[in-house]
Amino acid sequence: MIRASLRKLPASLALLLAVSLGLFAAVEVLPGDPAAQALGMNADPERLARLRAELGLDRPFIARYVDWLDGLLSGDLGTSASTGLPIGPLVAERAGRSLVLGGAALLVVVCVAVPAGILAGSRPGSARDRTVSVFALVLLSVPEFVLATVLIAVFAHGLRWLPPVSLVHGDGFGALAEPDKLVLPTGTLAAVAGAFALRLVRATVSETSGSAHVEAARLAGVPEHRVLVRHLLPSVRSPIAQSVALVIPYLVGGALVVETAFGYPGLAGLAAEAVARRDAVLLGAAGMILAAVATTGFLLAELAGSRRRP
Amino acid sequence: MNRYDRRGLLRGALGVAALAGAGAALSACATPGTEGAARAGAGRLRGGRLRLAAAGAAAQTLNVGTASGMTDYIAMFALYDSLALLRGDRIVSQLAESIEPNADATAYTVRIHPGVRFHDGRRCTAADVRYSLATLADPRRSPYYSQFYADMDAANLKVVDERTLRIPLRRPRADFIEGGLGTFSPVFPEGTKGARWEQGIGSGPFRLAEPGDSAATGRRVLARNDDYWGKAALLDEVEVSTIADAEARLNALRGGQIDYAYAISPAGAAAAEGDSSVAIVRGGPANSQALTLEMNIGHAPFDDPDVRLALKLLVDRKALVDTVLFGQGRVGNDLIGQGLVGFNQTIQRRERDVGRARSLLRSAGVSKLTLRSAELVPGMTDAAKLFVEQAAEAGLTVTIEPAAADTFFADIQTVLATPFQAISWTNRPAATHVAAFTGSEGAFNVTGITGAPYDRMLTDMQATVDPAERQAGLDELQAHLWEHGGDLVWGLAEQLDATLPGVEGVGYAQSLPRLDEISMP
Repeated sequence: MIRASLRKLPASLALLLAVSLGLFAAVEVLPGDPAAQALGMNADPERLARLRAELGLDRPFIARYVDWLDGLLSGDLGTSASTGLPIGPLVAERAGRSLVLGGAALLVVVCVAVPAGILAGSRPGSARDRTVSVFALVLLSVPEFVLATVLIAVFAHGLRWLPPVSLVHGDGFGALAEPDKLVLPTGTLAAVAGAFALRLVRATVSETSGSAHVEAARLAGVPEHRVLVRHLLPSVRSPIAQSVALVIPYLVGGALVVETAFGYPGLAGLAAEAVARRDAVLLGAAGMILAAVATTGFLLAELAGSRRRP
Repeated sequence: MNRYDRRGLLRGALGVAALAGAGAALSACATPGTEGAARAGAGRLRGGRLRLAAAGAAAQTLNVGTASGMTDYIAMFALYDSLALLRGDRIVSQLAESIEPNADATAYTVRIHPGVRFHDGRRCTAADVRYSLATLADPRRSPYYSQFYADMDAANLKVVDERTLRIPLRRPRADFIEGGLGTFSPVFPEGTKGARWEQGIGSGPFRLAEPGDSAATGRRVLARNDDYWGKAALLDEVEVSTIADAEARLNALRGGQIDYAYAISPAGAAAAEGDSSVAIVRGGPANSQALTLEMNIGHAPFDDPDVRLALKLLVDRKALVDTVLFGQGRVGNDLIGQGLVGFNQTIQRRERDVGRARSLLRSAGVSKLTLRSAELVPGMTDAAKLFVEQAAEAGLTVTIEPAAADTFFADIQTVLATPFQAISWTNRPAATHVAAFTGSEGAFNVTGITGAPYDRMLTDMQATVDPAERQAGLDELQAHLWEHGGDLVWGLAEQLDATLPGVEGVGYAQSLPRLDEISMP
């Protein structure tokens, strides 16, 4: 396992490096550098050049990129252009909240979507399978923001069971102290990601369900629940783990929409605000953390997949 | 010299803060809180905690020079007193007891109210005002607003006595209050910099209840300043939270999570019209965005006055407002500054005349045009498409050239060189608009109106000290622009807020709510 992880690590690091380079370059191509923004577009060229030199903006692209990367790796996320203060604490708070939301959604996926996928896949073509599959397909085809709107209309405005907006005020993991505000965003995030996982799990289980050793167990008269637990599940542990790992990058993408729709103050929402306000430092830091989480998901999926190969 | 920077205008264009200047000399200033007191009326309750939500910046700050989020601006205007404030069709003094120009408007004398103290107990003096103005005029510390103070000689600001400051200017600017002090003049203690900004210490009607708590939680709690030198606020506390999405803000209001949703969409306001659980508050034209089609008279075919007139005649402004703004706006009349101080009220409303437009276009030989358009505010692309249909009625084929909203103003050279484009501007007072958007000195002269006679009209107006004479000059300029200019202002998208019923006394200064005047049921 460790050897496999070490084998996969360079590729993941290379991917992250490529993402970081892309992110830095994307911020670079936005019109107006920090010096131009600070002085206004009508600033005289001499003054602009002086400020650019002061801020180190006159150095080559690669030198600035290496400096930025060095800062990120040493835990110095930089200072905000608007406050002049370190953004580390802000990013940490937001990341903590996103971890709570993502963790809760992942838990729902594991506890609900995966068992549902197993149950559906173990009897392919049955009424149970067809019902679950259609339900998953419907969820998967609904964009997150539409689902969020429907859930808000029903559970917040209609039934008045839950708050429509997740105005979480506690710091970091303090979101756990306000569980009612977590229900709708978690539900929305888990629904779409869960449908994705469910279909993967169902396909794997369905395929294995028809394999020779499972059929043999059934023909030998082993009760169905034992066939499932003793013969089927042990064969699909790795692909199921892989499906769950693949949900992680899916959650990262979904969080961008869900955090905005519910006003949930997480990291993905911060990245969206940073784009809107062209805050390059914040965008770089938040973007890299989100990319790192997504890459970790892919790495875990790779590792889980490698285990099932002889 | 250019007096306005791109970011400031871009911010305005995006509706971040309608910061614009206006007014006559401050001998004409109203007393502080006059408008609020009038609005407040009898029987309004003191006390309560107002929960307000608005869009915020990714990194919140109370640094007046660099703040960009609406939550920051709403808090800053409650924490810091300004020398003077633009309140729609007039300027009211706040911290300033008087602001007087000298005989040729090359220097101003500001005298602040006696007995003003900051939230930390320190006395507010002319030295603090000097420091504040010098900070606002410094491009490094105040990139957005320094251009408003470009004509102020910041190095020679002179403290005359504890309450009096003399402000020398580099050239006569009889409109200095409109263009500078009335636009943005918050006062903070001398030495405020770095992390001290986040303590939010000013002399305003609210103080920061929990300094430093906003950056991570996205929330600020403001408490009434019981030692306020002026008329005390009615509310005990205001909780300002960040909700980025306009629909989510309205959802939070309907769900009872907040009492005040700042800035909702026109669609949201239209949908809430029959809903008795929500009250819509409108900013009116004084607190709005002007939606325009800009014709550059330096480029063919707009160098022909008949073509400009034809386009002004063929546009169906009401249809645009009804369709694009869901009826939640006002019809424009080809001038910026409607509803604000200095607006020429005598100019007639232009009526649609497709027949005349068709004939003018035919005589000019114009049958095709290209309109550059970006989604600077929601609905602008739809507006452009609807305009294409309206133009077709007059035999004019308009092709839309899409542009990216994110980089629209960053590429200002293209904006200045485009013959025909759709733009959204903050509705600024006429004096501020003509200074920045017209004439050879105008940094954002997107309509290209210039030339020696026009420049003379403009600079003469700016140097005229007598308020009545200056207004006459301004009226003449506006009449000229209405007749010959390249602005086609089809609508005004007013500030739209929503509150729970019973939240009363919502009044605005430059699209920002005056929290000290609001009361709870």
